[in-house]
Amino acid sequence: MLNITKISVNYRLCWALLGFTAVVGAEEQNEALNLSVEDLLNVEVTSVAKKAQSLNDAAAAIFVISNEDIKRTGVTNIPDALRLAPGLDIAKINANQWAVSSRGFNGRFANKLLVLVDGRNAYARSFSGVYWENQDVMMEDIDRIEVIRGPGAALWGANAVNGVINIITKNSAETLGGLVTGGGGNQEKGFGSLRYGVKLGEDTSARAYVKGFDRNQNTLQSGGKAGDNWDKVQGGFRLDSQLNTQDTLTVQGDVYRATINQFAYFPQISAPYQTTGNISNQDVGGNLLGRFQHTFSPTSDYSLQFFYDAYKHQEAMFTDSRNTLDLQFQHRFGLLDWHEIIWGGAYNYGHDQLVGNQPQNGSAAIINLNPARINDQLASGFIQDEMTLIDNKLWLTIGSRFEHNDYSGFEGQPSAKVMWAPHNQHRLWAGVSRAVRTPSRAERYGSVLTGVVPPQQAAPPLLCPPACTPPVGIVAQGNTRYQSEEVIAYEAGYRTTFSKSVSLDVTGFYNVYRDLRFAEEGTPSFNGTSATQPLNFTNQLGGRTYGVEIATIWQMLNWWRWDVNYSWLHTHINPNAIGAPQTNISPQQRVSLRGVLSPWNDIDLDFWFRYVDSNFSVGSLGENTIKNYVTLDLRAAWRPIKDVELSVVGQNLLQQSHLEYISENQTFPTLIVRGLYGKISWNF
Amino acid sequence: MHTWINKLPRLLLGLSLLFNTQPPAQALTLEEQAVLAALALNIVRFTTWPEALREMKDSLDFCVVGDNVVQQSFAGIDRKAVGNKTLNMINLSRLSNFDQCDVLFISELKQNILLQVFVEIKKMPLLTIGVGDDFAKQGGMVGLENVNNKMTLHVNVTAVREANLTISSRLLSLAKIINN
Repeated sequence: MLNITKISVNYRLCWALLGFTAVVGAEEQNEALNLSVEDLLNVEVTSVAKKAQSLNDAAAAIFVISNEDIKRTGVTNIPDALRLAPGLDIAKINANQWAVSSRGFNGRFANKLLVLVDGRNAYARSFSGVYWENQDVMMEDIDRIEVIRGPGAALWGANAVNGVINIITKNSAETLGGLVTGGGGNQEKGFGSLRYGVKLGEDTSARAYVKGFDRNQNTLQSGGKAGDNWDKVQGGFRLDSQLNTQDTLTVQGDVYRATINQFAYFPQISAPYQTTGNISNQDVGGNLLGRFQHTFSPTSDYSLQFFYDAYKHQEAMFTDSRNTLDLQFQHRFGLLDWHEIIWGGAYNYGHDQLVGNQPQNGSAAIINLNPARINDQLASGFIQDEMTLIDNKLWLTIGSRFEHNDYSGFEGQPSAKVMWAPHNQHRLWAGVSRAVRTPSRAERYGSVLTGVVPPQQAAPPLLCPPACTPPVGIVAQGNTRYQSEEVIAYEAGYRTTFSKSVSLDVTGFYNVYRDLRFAEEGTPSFNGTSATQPLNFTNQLGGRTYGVEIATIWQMLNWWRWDVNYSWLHTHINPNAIGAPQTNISPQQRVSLRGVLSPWNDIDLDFWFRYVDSNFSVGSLGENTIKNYVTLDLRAAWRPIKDVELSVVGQNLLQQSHLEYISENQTFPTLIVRGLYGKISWNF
Repeated sequence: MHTWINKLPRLLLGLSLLFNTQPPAQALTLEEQAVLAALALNIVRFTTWPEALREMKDSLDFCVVGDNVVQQSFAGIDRKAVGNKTLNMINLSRLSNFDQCDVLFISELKQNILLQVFVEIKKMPLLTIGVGDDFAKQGGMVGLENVNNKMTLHVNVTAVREANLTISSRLLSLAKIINN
């Protein structure tokens, strides 16, 4: 009893303490209204509370990572920045490989998440996934990263099964002048960048940049160096022009070259059945994108976009080269005062070459694709109608995308969403959608030696050798009848800003999956010296996931903000064959707790705790449970003069090293080492 | 567990004392949104509409294009008196039917859309107020820009004149004038 009283008293003290300094709403408004124009123009204004008050109007689980968030966390790459979003599962496999997924099923080749960089699709057809090591931009030039959890297929296209990530860089008009950054530390051994933006006439601006880094290796779980150090140089440009009051044009492009090192293992059918090697891979790539937009009126515009993307990605087991040409058209217009219609079409042409690399000891390549080269096409159209049922209160959005691709034929991906704003501090939404993940090149035409079972005693008690079973190669085998995976997703969310300094965003979802990939044991064969056990890809697996994602922002003091996210996920895969390979299962719980402090105008202090529950991976090394972990990043920055900032960032500080994920193949379990780096940036 | 909760307020107090060494605010600090709404009210009060329009109705219809934060702060000036009329806030969810508005406050519209809004309302007796350094240059009438945490006014007198509106010299004397 005594305790309870004490607690309530303390709570009151707590609120009173915070109340004085927290952002005040109505009183401020009255105070402002009592001032004259002259006084209003002299008063100091602040907009710190805005972030905690804004509610997104999208009927979807959307989370926006701002340029400021990226800067304040001290992250040096896109996957690490994505750790800010709830519902995403980000795990670093080693220095140059990540596993990134939304709402579960994580893996190096997690295949249910679509990634777009300024409208350019970064999802690779070869293994259905994203080569995160090849996706980079000048971090300082990112305007925002929009993370949409749940299906986004109706608007964005296939493979947006569990989410879409839109990385959006700034218009070049916002990056005029120069920026130089540089720094280094133990894991980030050295990095630097230079960007310069100019005005080319009244209505045209452009920027160019070059950046590079050298990242250190981590340690193997078994001890010793992981050999995963890498370096990269990338450059690019962006030009934006307002051709006249109705037309705008954007042209942009990037090129990169990376040297990516790997200490990889390979199964082989002859003794010793597994070899290892330090391999140095060269990745090169580039892209060119153009977008023209014509605006007819405030409620009507169209855009035409093309991009060309080429890359050659090399890793221990294969080399993947691909050229993609993509055209998109989109038109938006208002109809009858209560409809906003968006429709469009897209065409994509790809040419690739996928070949297995021979291990250093000259044994046979582990991956084979037949055919090794392919041309593929995709054509799609979509239409979406946002209907205002009650002005400022109730909206219904229905839409669908229809696509035809060379792998799974025709796909229809509809969605229906409803949004209700009973008051401007509350938003409720719900939706149901269907999305598909189309087959990869490997699932259709590949074969991969995933492991070799060495010879065993054939007839105990006779010894082996001489009485041995033959070695058995386990070969994952593509299937030309492999079809798309499907999800039907049910989602609902609530967003509110119930006080002037707090906002809350809660989303719940229930996903039902059909036709998920399953590796079915085929008929073994024997060639006289070794046996082969095929695992044929089929669409036999089904399952469901459900979960809750919570994102809150609390502007506690005008110089101290808290960003707290919590995600809970349950994955249930229908058991249909005992002992067969299963699916990767993402952590059940994730917590991100960030404190953003600006105690003085020229000083930033940031801390970022993350808790990640245990997760489960399946691959060549068998089934593994990766232990849960807690980690902490810290950042301190000081601006001694206006355009110069010095910062120190500590990453993964709570332990010397920790394991986040075990890759499906090639890479031994690698512990991510604690990092510390210093950075200087200068605007001129 | 209770001990932890008991310690929380003191911990927070301690932390805030530890960090709260900012120089005491010499001047009053207000939220930008509240200042924008108050400035908008003042700008309306310093504006004269054509005579014909003035006699037609009792309200001055103030349309707002913006997110929930903008709508919330402008709700604070709803029903305020302006001369012998009262302000009537209308949250525009669609960029059409501008003829119902006497004032249009625009925040965070994409550039290409904003330019077409100006085309659409050209020569209407409609006072446009917006945020940013470019608003008035691009054809808006009154732009409010945050420069080093203080609001500054930009007035495009050409646009005001073309719409048959008059802005008082007292307000103009506080503003940067744009004449194009």
